[in-house]
Amino acid sequence: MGKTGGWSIQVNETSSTIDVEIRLKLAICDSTKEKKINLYQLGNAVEKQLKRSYQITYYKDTYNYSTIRSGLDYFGSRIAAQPVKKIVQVNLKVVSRIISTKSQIANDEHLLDLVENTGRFKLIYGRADDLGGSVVSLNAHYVNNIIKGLDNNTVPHEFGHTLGLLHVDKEATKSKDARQYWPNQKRWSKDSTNIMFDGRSRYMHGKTSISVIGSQIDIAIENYKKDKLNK
Amino acid sequence: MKLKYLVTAIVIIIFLSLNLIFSENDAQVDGFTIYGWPYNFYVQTEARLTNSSYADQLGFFPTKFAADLFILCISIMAANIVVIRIRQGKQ
Repeated sequence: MGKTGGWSIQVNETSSTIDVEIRLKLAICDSTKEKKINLYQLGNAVEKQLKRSYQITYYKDTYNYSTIRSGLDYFGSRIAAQPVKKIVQVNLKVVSRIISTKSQIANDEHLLDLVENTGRFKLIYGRADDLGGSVVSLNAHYVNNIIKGLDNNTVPHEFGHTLGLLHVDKEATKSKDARQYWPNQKRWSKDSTNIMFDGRSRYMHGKTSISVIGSQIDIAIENYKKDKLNK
Repeated sequence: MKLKYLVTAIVIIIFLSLNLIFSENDAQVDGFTIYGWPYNFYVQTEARLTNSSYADQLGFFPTKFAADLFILCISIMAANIVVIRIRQGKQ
């Protein structure tokens, strides 16, 4: 686990299944002057949207390892790997609380910050602070769309960045992590409703871009194990 | 006026350092990639825009780039004049 931030991921593997328990501790803060937004409703909407996107089931090609004893003196036992398709069940739990100032955030929490619709932030719906970072900022002017369910993408997308996920259709992704890059001809067939399309992609829709695929969960787990999250 | 190489180099280094300090590289997480100081001649984001007309505010802006270069030239000239005057004053 990193120094700060609220992601924790537990993986329990059996001979036929893999249970992934993702947990997010979240502090929600309204940094706007007016403080008009109902943060309880926002917390519920965030939990609902994250669960809808990340609580998935998929198959994963992996191996079951077993030790084969030789039965002969002076001959050591061998480890055999048997290829197997395991079913992965992802479970997401979000624990959120409301804070009045950003300084109240605890070390083991992510911050969901509502920002004024001014300056450059006027151009965008939301952003993450860093790849694998621990702060997600939302443009307060459009948060009601998230609460009403008109924007189902911004929250899972930005939290995807904090899980170390990149835009699947950007050329730059190829050099950063080629596994996350989807070539043009595969985008529609792989998952055209994926959350991680670039903001100006033809596949990006605020209401319907809500899905995550298994390989993205695998990348998030790997990032967590390598301590690349909660920065 | 003959330019002093050292003074010119120092001004260019300071100017480039300020460009680096004030640059941002957050487009990959839906923030902004910004280059240019004092005028941002390159602004880009990979985020979903709240209004498609805001796309006009993104990209490379040659006039702002020219303005930055002009300010750099003025700074070099000013620094050279100041150094020459200081030297003349000492003599």
